[in-house]
Amino acid sequence: MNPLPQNTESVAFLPNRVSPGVDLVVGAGNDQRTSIGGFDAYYVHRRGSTCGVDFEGAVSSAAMNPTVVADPARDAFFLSDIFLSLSQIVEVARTTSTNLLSSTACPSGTQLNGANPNCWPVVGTADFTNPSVKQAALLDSYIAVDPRTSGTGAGDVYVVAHYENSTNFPAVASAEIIACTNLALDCGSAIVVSGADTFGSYPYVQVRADGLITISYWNYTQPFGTQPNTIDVKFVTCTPQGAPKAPTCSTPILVATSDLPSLFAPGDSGFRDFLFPKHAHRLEADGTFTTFLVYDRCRSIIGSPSVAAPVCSKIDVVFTFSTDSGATWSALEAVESGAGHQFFGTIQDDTSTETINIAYYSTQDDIFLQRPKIRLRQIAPGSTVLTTASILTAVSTDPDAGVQNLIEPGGEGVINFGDRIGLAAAGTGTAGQSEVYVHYTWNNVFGTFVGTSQPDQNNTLLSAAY
Amino acid sequence: MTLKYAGILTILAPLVSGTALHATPTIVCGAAFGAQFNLEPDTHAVPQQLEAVDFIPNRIGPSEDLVVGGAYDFRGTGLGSPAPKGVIWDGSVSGYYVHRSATSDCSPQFEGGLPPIVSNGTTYLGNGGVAIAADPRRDAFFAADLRFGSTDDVSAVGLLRVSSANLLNSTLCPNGTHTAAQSRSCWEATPGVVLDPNPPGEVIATLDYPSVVVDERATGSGVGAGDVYVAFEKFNVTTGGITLIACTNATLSCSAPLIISNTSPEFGSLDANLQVRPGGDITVTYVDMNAAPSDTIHFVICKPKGAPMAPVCSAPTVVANESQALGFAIYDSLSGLNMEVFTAARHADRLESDGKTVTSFVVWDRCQTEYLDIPEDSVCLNAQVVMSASSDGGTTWSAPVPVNSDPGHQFFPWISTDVSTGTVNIVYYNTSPDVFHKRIAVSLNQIAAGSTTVGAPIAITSTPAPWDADPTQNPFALGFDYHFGMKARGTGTAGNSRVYTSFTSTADRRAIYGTSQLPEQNNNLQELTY
Repeated sequence: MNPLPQNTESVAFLPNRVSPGVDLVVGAGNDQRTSIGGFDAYYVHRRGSTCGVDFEGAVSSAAMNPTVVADPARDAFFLSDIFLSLSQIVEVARTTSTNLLSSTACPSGTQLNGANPNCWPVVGTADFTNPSVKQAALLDSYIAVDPRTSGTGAGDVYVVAHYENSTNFPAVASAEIIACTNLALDCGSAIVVSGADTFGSYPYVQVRADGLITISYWNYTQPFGTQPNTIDVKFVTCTPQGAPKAPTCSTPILVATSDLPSLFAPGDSGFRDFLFPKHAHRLEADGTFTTFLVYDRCRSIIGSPSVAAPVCSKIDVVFTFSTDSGATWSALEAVESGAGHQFFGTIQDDTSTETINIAYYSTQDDIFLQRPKIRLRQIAPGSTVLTTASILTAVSTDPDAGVQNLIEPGGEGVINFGDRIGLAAAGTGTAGQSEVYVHYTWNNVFGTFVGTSQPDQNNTLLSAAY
Repeated sequence: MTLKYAGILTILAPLVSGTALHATPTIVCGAAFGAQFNLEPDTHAVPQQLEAVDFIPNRIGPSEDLVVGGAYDFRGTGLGSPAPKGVIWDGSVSGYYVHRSATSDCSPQFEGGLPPIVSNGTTYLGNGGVAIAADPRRDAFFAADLRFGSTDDVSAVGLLRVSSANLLNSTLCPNGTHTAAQSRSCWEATPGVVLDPNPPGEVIATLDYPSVVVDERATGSGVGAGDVYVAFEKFNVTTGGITLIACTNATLSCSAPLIISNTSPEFGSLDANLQVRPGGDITVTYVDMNAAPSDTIHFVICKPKGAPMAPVCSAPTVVANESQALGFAIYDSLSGLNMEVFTAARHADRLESDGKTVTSFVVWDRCQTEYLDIPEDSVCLNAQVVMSASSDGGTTWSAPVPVNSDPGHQFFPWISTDVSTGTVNIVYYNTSPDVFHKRIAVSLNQIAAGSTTVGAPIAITSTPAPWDADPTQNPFALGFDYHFGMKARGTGTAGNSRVYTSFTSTADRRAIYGTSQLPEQNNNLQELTY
């Protein structure tokens, strides 16, 4: 009854953690239900062989854009989100699998904020505040965990965010990182990882199996507000120093350049897509690493590029890879060569088999190129070539249809479909024992609005085995 | 890759089809979505909207009709065309499209923008709002449209006449997309006229929604026989209202404007719809926009006096007080559609078998369920088309009944009586066949001769198409498209009645935008026989 939208998903899981064949899965997403107490929420699957949610809730009120990651070595999960206040603070929470599996600590059902603090018992803050800046905003945070059990930085948690200083015009921005300890979430000070770049945006962080911290982001090459404004996609490596000490980072390296805006609307739809680079590392048989990076790229703009959300004739998910820790990158390649839009591309490595997974929406199967299905392409161990795409949803969804449209002011055509989907891949190393989970936005379940049946935007989970 | 679990539900909503009326309805021009009814190339493609259509049955040959369509065509000014712009017509967005082929399809052989009309030294360009009326008896067509001055901010309604002979003349009206000169040669055998022009220098009134109809009786058979009537909305805070003008058929000698609405509603009287009864009486429906969200649907009967004398009209009667009208709030749209829709009334008259009684049917669209998240930005969750009938000259009206009770939206109704059989045809956009209730199909319901009961829906198009898939309509996905057109005529023999429907569709092809191909908005045409 009167359902509200969920979008902007993340997902992580521990294989077989509930029981053989049953994974412990934690999802997160923006959730506009006020009953949960915040703008974002977590969703946990801990029983049965479906993708059903056993309990859900929010860590705190008034936060958004959550990211969840698993820490298999310590049997834990971490969740981060940005406070919806004027502060520049990322909330970071930690829980264990034991807690999540405990019906006492985490009872089934919907948990109101504060009603059950035992479910996520450790909550810290990554404070990006710069007292010398009068007016600032924090955007687009992300989180990663060092998966190691030994070595400097092993188990440390890293939070990155886009810090925008709007005291003066044009505004400037930087991609920044904070290191936090694993158990207590004792977080250090922020450092800039985007070097001399004046508008570092949409940072994404991963930690390699050897402890090297890697960050991708993009930067305007001209002052903010300049049109046109070429965008550089960049990559940084950082060496851990042991949280809460900040890591030491290299000079950013150019991955690719885009002459088109960072925000664009698919040509025949009302929602918006964003350039948001994401990457994953694969450990090769010889002990080296290959880094794969994906992002959504607009091929060409229809009409003026200066409008708030220029119309894009074709959106591709493109990928590139580097075998030298990001010093050089391969030529960009589209994940799909077909028609339609591919968007919200995301990437994860299954470390059990070193299989790279790339998930995305694609409208190519719709005759009107509006309604996407979820697709997945993989890159086999040792290879840099994409396998044939798997279509993971039998039917398609319509991003423009549904409740999220109703609650936009006047349904004026700017649709909130979120800006990302979640992907997680893990396994035992045995063929057929790996799972990939995709946590995505889907409008196909109808809700009841004022007595009428309307498409309702929901966070939806699927899994596939390989 | 083995897909294990996915939480997905689908809801399928089949469109009921079939009726047991005059003859089994048959779709002619492609069941999925009709046919593109313009000659626009797929480069620099821009939208066509606000369609109108009429035809003369068997004018080309047995079962081959002469069909004239109209639409707001963005090619007139290149509006919406991404750079570099394609063909820009002579400033006219009043598009016309003509099918004169002996091939039984819905293809246009030529098209263009209605030519400028020069009056009192001022050149008036076509500004859309095209309405089309055929006159089988005198073998001619009439087009009314909105006009604006090429140099001054004057506005008016234009009226043009063209004979079927001219439309079939490949010298005067060559195949292809007409140049400005070809448009003039095709349409200006009878000089066009401008009606009710506003003086330059100040916009004192807004004219909109012209409607045109012909008294199709044989010339000389009665007062007003053959006369042409144009009605339109004139929004003016002091002297506006629904305006009616009568013109002679052959020379377009026209009466002075006559205001036939008698109230001054808060937001004006809107969207006149004209018909002429078999006896020559002129009937008009229109909508008064009152305090939100209330409309009043009005009906007026006028007696012809013989153009260029103006008719004499009765006081408007109330068809219905619509308390859940569409279109009041800023950004008032239909859920999932982002299209601004205003309640509009259309009507049709039917002579009953007693030869005296005339039944009038009025249809309009309304919001069955409103979502009031923000009152001034309301969204309609479920629009519906309703019908009311009167058999006493509009004095009393039946309680409105839904034309289609399926879920989703039904809107933009149009209604036409097939005089040859007494069958009343109602068409409308219908999102019910789409799983998300977003994409639009065109549906038709018939009312059998002698009956006032609406029959089951018939699919004019079977493939729901998104109105907003054309990228030139994004990111401003709040669209403006106020109606589409339909006309029914026949010979009185079963199987020889036709319904032509011209509507907006993005289904027939993709056009080239930037480096990619995306759906493009076109005026499409569908023919149904029964």
